[in-house]
Amino acid sequence: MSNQIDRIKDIKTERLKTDLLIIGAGTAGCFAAYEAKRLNPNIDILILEKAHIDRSGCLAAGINAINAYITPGQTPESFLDYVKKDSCDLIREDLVYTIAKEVNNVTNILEQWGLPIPRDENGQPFVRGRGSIIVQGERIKPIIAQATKATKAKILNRVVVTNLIVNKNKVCGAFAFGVRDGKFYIVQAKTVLVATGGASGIYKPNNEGNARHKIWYSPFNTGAGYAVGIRAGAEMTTFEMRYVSMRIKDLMAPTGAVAQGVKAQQVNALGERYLEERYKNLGGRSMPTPMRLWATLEENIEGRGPCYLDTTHLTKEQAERLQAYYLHMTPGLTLYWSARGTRPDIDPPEIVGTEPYIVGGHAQAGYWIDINRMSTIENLYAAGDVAGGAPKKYLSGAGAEGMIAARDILLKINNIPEPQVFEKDIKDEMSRVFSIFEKRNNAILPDELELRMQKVMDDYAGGISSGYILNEEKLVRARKYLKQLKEEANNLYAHNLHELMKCHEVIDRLDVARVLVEHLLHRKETRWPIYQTRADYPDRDDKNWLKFVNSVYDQNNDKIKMIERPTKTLEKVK
Amino acid sequence: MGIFIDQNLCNGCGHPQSETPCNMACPGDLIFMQSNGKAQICSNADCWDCAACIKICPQQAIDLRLPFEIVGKEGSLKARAYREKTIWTAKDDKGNESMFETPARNDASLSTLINPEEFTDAIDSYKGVSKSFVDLGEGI
Repeated sequence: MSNQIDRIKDIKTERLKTDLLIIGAGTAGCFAAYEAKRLNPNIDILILEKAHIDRSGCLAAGINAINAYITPGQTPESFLDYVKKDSCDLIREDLVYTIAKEVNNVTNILEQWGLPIPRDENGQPFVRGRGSIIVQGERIKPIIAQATKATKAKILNRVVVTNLIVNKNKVCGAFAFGVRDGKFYIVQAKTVLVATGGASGIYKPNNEGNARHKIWYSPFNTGAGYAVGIRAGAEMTTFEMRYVSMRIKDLMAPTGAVAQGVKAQQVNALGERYLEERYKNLGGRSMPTPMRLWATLEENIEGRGPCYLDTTHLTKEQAERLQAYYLHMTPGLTLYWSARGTRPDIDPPEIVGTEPYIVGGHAQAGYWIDINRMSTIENLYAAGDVAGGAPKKYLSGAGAEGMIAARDILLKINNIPEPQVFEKDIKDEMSRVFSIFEKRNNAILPDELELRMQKVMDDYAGGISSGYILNEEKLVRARKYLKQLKEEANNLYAHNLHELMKCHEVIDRLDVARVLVEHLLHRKETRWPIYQTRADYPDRDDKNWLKFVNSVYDQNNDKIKMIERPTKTLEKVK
Repeated sequence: MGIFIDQNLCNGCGHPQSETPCNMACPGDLIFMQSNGKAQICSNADCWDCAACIKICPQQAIDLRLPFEIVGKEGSLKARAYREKTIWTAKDDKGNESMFETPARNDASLSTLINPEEFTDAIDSYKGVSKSFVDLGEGI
């Protein structure tokens, strides 16, 4: 015990004060900083980033399309209709609509900052699919970082946020530690925007061992933004709409460049275009996104796998261009072809389903927010992947939400009194964060706990090995084992600051997983096949379940309270 | 595998006086400096293949390798980030190379935004013979 106290005494603390604390320097966070500084250059902004702003998060490798964009002939209203249909009619129309009105603005700003967007002779971007345009975004993250640095917002890199400071349901700041400097940070803030990104690594991934991080969503997005909100008692929504995506096998690379870019069709081992030939009644090629994956899994079950995206119609030159195109986003895939001395015109990519992710940018798990992106905790905002209710927002929608939140924050900031931070809370959090350094007899390492959690989720909460299928009995087991793991987490041990970060990442993921399981148990219908397939309630039930499933965690009693909220049409919201 | 850092080529980039570019770039905090002053990755199993460290290494000491269990063959991908573009070289197991280039910034921003001190994502300007950018028009 004395050992622990000594360790904590050795920790240097740093107290900071700001008007707006932004957690996470991704698209949502950086656009929030940009918009806030544009409207009021005098506002004090502090951005805390777990990695380095130049290459952090989802965009570390780059991006080759902007997938939420109002293309010629489309309108914000038609975008809303499309998202609603693709999400089986359950979305927050107010959130999706306000995003739709902003996505082209975000794209234009990115282009002004330097993002290369190829344009045709009429100056129009190349439309890759409905609501999607081609960009050459290998350098997008440094470009966004450069623009953010130019706003003179203060940026602290390599700082991991561990909890929010909340008093009387008002946010007052956040606690964090430096993964390089080892300091404990106490940040007092009038407003806080959570923009950390979603959660990967909850379920066992497609690949194992040395290939375990060949996953689609950034393995460094560990659900911290959700976890700090959950622990603070913020209301969360629709975690049960997990995101499972159809991806190129092995590297788990996105398929849009192939499916939309070069119009490759999904074919089975017999060469059949199975979406059209076998599942016409579900909409054929235009069936909702999760159904296209469902059909692919069906083909495999019925013995007609593997399935491909058929790229054999490409010329050698087109195939090489496609390889180069992936260098903007998944360079490993380009190498995958090159290393084997092959090309997509010779070897069409095989398609499989990923492990489930929890993301508000593709699906809609996240904070329950109002139209201005404020959560149920006063002055606490959420934008991007951690913000719920608005699927298919992607990069441009994340930027849009950051800007929307910033505008509301500026309206309120002058009327917010100085936030309070209590010494007892500081002491408690410091002990929680750093006691992981304390030597113990039954110590477990973060990787061990992560593997165990991923196995539990894979086995009992609809992972890849169970075909994504859920039922009550298995979910109840998942609940039980996760509760045990939460206790096991008290035995986590770290040798250094990098491992300390990994320990807190697995603690965060466990909190997300527990909320997720409660959401999956609560919705007694099948709304989004694959994302949420309840074998014991196989049908969609609009009469009883066309509503949101929300939750609030009560830290003192370790209880997750479930709440149901009605849907509202856009007219009603307006 | 994720990345391979050639210990003969790595020169430590002035560590410990300044943070090395690879150490700064890694989104997973996976690169550390060894006692001999050279960079190393602490866990290749944790690497996401984003290539951020590869593009920014001024010594060209890092390349991307895929795990044997995925690809069954040894190949490598090198890249170098210039302000205007990135030049890539992919190699198959027999050493056959294919070259690619990708634009980094649009022309408008290059003429207006550049303050060379602010560039932390690229080593320098491209001085080689300029090829036309890979055209990504209709049908990629």
